Amino acid sequence: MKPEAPILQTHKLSIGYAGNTLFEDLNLELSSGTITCLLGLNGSGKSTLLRTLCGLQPAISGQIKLFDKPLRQYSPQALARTVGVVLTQKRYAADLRAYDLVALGRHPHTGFFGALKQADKDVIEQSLEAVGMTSSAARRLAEMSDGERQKIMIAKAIAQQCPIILLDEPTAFLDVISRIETMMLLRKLSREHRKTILLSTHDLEQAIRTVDSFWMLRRGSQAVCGTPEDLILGGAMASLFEKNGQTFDPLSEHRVIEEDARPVGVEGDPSIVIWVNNALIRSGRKPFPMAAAYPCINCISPSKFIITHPNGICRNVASVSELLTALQEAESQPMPQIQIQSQYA
Amino acid sequence: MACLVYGAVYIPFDNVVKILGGKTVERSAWQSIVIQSRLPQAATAVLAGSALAVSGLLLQTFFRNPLAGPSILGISDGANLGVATVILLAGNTTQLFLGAYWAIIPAAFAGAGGVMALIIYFSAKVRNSVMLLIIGIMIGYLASSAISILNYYATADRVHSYVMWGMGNFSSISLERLPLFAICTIGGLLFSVMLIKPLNALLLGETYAANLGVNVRSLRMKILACTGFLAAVTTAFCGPVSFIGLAVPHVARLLLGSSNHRQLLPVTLLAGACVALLCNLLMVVPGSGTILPLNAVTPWVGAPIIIYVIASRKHIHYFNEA
Repeated sequence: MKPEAPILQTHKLSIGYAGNTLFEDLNLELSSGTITCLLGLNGSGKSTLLRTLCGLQPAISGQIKLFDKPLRQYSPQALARTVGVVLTQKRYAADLRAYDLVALGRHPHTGFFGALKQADKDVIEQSLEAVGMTSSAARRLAEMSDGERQKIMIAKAIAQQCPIILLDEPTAFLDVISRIETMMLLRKLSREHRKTILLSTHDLEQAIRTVDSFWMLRRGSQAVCGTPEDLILGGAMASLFEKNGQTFDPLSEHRVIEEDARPVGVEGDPSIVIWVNNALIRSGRKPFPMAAAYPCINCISPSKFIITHPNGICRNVASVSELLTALQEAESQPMPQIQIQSQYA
Repeated sequence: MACLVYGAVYIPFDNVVKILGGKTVERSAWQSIVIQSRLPQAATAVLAGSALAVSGLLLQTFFRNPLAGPSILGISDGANLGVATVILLAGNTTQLFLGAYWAIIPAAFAGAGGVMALIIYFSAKVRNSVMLLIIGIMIGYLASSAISILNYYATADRVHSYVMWGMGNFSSISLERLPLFAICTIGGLLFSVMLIKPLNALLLGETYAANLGVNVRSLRMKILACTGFLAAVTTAFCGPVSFIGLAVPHVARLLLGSSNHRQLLPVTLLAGACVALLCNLLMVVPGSGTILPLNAVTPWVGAPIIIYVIASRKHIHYFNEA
C-alpha cells in the first residue's frame, strides 16, 4: 500500500471528562484505507477516545484534524458525512427492517423530510450488498442474530458514505463465527472500498490477524503505534500486559502466559500439539521442547498421549482431560524440582 | 359524520344533510343543534384527538417507551394544575368561561411545560424507562394534590366549574372559539411534521442520532415544546383527556407495521382524529338522551389496546431492544 497523507490526525490531544483527564498529549494518525485497532485495558478510555474523535464529546485540549481541517470547523451535517460510527449499545425499535435502518444512514444526505431519491436507494442496496445482507433487507432487527445486526449497523455506516468509520467493540457479544466474519468484512471495506477504519476490541488474536496497525493506550504514558508484528517483536505488546503478572508470549499463538508457568515438553503430531499447548497454557503451564528435566508429552493421536516424567516413569493417557489430571498428580508429588529451577532460573 | 347525525337529540339523517348543505329544515332547533353544537364538537374532537395522539407519539419516541403519554407522564396533570390555578383562584368563573381562554392556555402551557422540564431533568439521571414513568406518575400525584388543596380553599361554584371542566369535553368549544383552537392545534401539528426526519434518527438512540448530524439538544427542546404545547392546548380547551395520547400511537404502529415517522406520524394523526370521534359517539348513551363524560369513555377504548400491546410484546417488537 502506498503511504498517503493521514486522513485523521490528532495533535497534543487530551481527552476525558471535566476533572478527569484520561489521556494527555495524544499524537495519533490514521492513513487512508487502513484498519487500526485501539488496544488498552478495560476502562482505560478507548470509548472516550472514539467519542472524541467523531465529535460526540469535546476534547479537553489539543486538536483533531480530519482531512487537514480541524474537527471544530465541521458542521454537524458535514461531520456526519465524514465520520460514521458503529456502537456496542443495543438499539431500540427492534421492529425496524434492515432496509429502513440502513436508510437512516442516508440522513446526512437527504432533504428536510428525509425523502429517499433513486440515488439514495442505490446506495442503500449497495451497502446491504457490501455486507452480504441483500436478501435480509425486509427482515426486522428482532428477527436477526447479533452478528447480522452488527452487519446491518456497518451497512448503515457504509450508506452514510463516510471515508472514516469508527467502531466501538464491534465484535463484543458476537459468537466466534460472527466475530471472524465481522473482522473480515472490515478488512474488505478497507481494502476494496478504501474506508479508513478505527475500532476497539478485546479480541486480540483476531485483531492481530486483521488490522494494519495498533494504537496502544496506557494511562500515564505515551501511546504506542505500529503494526501488530512490530509491537510484538519490540516487546510493546508484552508491556501492556506485564502489570497483571502475566507475560505476553508472541511465539505461542499470541497467548498470554502466566509468569510462574511450569515447563512441559511437547512433541508429536502438529495438529494435536496445537491443542495440547492450548490446554497447557490454560492450566498455567508452558509448552517447551522435550527435555528430561520436566514432564514431557508425546502426542500420538487424539486418543493416545504418552507422558514421560523426569523420574523416568511413562504413562499412557487417552484424552487431554486425563493428561491434565496426570500432570496435576505428578506435580503434587515430591519431585526433584531443584534440578528444573537451576536449569530455568 | 356519524357524530353530526347521532346525538342526545334525534335528528333524521336527511335533515342533517340538508342543514349541512345550507338548506333550512322544518325545526330551527335542529339546525342550531347541528351547526352550533355538533359541528364544532366533531371538529374539536378531530383536532384534539390528533393533537393528543401526536403528542403521545413524540413522547413515546423521545423516551423510547411504549407507556409514555401526556397523561401518564404527568404532563396533563401539570396542565391541569395550571388551569386549576386560574379557575379556582383568579378572576371570576363566569368571566373565565365566557371569554378568558387567553388566561387558561398559557397557564396550562406553563403547567405542562414545567412537568416536561422536570421529566427531562430526571430522564438524564434515570435511564430506566419504567422508573422514569413512575417518577412521572409521582409528579402527577403531586400536581393532583396541589389541585386538591386549591379545591379545598376555593368557592363552591368555582369548584363546580373546575370539576365540569375536568371531566373532559369536546363540546365546550363554541363555533366562535373554534378558529383559535384550530390555529393552535394545527400550528402544533405542523411543527411536529417538521420533526419527522430527526425523530427517525432518534430511533437508533441519541448517540447514533448525533452521528447522523442531528443536533440532539435542540431536538429535545423542540420535542418538549411541541408536545407540551399540543397537550396544553387540548387540556386547556377540552379538559384533561386521558388515554388518547397513550393508545393511539400504538394503533397506528399496529396498523402500519412500521416505526418510520414519515408514515407513522400522519397515520397517528388520522387515527387520533378517528378515535376521538369514536369516543365522542360512545359518549351518547343509546336511547336515554344522556351524555357521559368523555373521560368515562376513553379508558374503555385505550386501556384494552395498551394491555394488548404489553401482553404481546414477544410479537410486537417496536419497543424491544435488539
